[in-house]
Amino acid sequence: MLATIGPDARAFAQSGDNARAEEIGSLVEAGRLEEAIREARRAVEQYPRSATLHRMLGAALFKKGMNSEARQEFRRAIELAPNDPQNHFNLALVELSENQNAAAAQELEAVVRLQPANAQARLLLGRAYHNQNRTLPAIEQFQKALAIAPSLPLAHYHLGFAYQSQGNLSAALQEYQLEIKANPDFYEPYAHAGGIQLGQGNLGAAEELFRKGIQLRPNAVQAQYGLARVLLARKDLSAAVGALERVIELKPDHVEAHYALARTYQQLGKKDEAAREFRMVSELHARSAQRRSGIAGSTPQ
Amino acid sequence: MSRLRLLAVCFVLGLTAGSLAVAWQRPAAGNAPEQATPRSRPATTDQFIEVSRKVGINFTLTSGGPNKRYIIEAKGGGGIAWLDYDNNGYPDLFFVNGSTVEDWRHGTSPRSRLFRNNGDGTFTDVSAASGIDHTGWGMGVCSADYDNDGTPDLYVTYYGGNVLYRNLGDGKFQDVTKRAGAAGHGWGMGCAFGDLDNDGFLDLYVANYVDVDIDKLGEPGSAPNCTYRGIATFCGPRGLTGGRDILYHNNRGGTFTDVTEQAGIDAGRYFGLGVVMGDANRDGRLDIFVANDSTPSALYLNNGDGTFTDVGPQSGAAYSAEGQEQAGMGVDFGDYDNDGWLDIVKGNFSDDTKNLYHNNQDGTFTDQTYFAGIGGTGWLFTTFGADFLDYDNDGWKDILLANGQTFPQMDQYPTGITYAERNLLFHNLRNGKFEELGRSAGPGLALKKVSRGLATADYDNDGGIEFAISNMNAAPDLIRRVRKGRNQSILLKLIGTKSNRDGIGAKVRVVAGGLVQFDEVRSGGSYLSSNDLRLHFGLGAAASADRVEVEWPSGEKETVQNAPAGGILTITEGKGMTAAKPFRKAPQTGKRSMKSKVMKGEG
Repeated sequence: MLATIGPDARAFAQSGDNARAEEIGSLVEAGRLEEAIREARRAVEQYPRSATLHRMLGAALFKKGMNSEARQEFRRAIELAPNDPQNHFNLALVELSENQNAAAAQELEAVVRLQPANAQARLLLGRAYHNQNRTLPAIEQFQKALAIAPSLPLAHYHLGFAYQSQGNLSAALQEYQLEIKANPDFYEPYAHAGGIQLGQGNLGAAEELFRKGIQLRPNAVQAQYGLARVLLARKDLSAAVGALERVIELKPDHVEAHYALARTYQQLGKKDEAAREFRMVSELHARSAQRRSGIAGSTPQ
Repeated sequence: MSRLRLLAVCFVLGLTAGSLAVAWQRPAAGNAPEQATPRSRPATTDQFIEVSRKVGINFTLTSGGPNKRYIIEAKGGGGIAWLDYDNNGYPDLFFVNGSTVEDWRHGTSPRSRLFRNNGDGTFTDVSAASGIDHTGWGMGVCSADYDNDGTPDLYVTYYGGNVLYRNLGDGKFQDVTKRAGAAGHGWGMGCAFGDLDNDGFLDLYVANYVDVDIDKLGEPGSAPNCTYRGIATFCGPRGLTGGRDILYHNNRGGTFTDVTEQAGIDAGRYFGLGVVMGDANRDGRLDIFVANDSTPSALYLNNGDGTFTDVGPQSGAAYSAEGQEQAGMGVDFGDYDNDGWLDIVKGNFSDDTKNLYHNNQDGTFTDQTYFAGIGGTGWLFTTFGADFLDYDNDGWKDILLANGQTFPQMDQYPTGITYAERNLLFHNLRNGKFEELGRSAGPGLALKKVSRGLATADYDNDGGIEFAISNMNAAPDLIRRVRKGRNQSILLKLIGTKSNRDGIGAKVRVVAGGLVQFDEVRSGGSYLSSNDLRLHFGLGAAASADRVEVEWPSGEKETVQNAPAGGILTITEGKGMTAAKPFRKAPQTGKRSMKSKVMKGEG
């Protein structure tokens, strides 16, 4: 079975379009995108009312990065088969890839209306909502996605992130831990959970999380910085200096690391080094002020 | 699952893992065990109610239109001062009024309002006869006796020039700004009086916000600095030119001299809002803390030679715990852990922590907001007013934050952030941590409004602290605690003789029930506001304070022994306790009344 063909698509499908769709799908999977596009265009000419073939052409175009044309094909597929959730889903993917969250949400709402148990669509809908300042409906969608598919990849992570953005840290930590359990090779929840554990004073747990994060992504700044903060919390100042320098090596404009370094030098009695780092903090803030949107709390991260 | 769907999902996974963070948002920095939504707290004896209308305070703060298209509409107005202008022993209440763009252009801005405390729990609006008649776009206020004549004066900040009102002692004030040379310039915000050179006369610090022309303000969304979370909002403060704060030296003859430049104040022209003075490093000289918006806060250490050094970044009190700039608003000094050193609480914007800077006693501070349990709880709130206060008289200072967003547009988005917000009262758990009381502490703490100014006083002299809160385009709140516990307290009124008349800057240690508390007399602080100058100390179950030690700004020290709880003690520099008056309805647990002790010459 190559592609999902909804009932409406089937009604509009003309003889032979499924075979063509199978062929095009194989080309896409093989990475032979130009060939796939060429074949799909021919097929669409031959079967202009086949929603499946428009969808396949859209998929090949999307994979090739030709979003505008892909969008047109998915829209045509929706016209031909408005009740096929797959077409809405695919169009939503195009919109999401361009951060068109409102348009994506509209399509994903159609998906979940047609297919309420589509956990993946609910996860993406949650993301689209969150990106539109609709955090509370986003949380609701993440929760629904998890109710349908408790181990859906990334769902616990996104729910945790949404909780964390509400200041609800204990719930966030719980979700990050569930994501780690379900998806142990995914870096992000280690760094976030480590930060929360650190704040709670659970230094051992924080260190373990940061170190696992670093194992997965050795140059991950957030985990490296977290590890440095653990060392600072343990008053292992000389080791912390080394860890902070490592962070700065990875990201020279990491203002928090410069600040932590300044305060560490201060504690070590290295006044000149501390002064140098404090100056750097001030300079980095001045530089970034231009890029910011107006209020400190809205700083893009 | 279909092959196409697999392809699509793989793409989504790649996309998601690569750009997980929401573009404009950062989550709470990760640090606290508490919930954002306060836990439901069992009903206690601490219940708070709002009484403003009932006691005769009829006033609506004017501050721009409902949509807050311009920054001045969202930040302006709301200053509150408690001052006993008629010296009847009961603090009166002054509200700074704002304006609207239209009224300001037409010169028809409303007046500020003064309410006389009748001493029976009610207030009378005496604005019309008070001589406080300047109109404009008012912002903040600080009150103190700058001319040492025994009556508290008022300094009111405005957009476009501030006003100094001298209290004539007959119930009227006189605008003496021009003669005093204290008009300032630009957009004045917070202010504070303090004797910075210990010469016995109060100097004055005025925080200036931004240099803008009201007629040339950008429209919402018209530039990158006119958005928040991608939503079109008023422009600024980023992208606007900061106003330079002003330091005035009191010349003693009723005039002031602007010494900003030579004192080394605010060369960076940060966006100044809240101001508070205190001796942060305990060297006997008042220092100045300024909460700046979207820029580092300033901690000006007093060098003792008329100059100041901003040690904010080095001290750890300029940024968040991790070195990020924050949108500082209201600020207060207070010793929340009873270690004898002044700590700092500061309000900031939403999507950010509020600061609780612990004084490390070595010139540095550590932001303990998460450890204290304030970080996560306050994350979504925009905090303007911020005060330390001992609401339950247990001898440990609690924290009150007055909240309200600046962008009404937030109500169109279900983010968890709302324009109107409830205020947060954090109870001190005596171990460096705080618990937010939440709505269960009574209707007075469940109100959701757009709050700005916050000032505290025991206005009915009953031994418990009340708080006044201003609300944008709405009536103020006067919150009092009912169903009180049995803890004791004392109020201390200080009168300087060599030192400034108000005793501002005097250090007071109260030893009672095995606890040593510390505070200083201060004017200004919170958000554009000024608390009652009398110091309030909760004594817990103690029927008296073993000792009240006062160290005056002049250097003179005195001690009152066995100061009885349950009343107001007046301590005069060089004379000790010169008056004592019992609280109106003070809970009595001791066998002997305070009055009897004074009569016998004890203490």
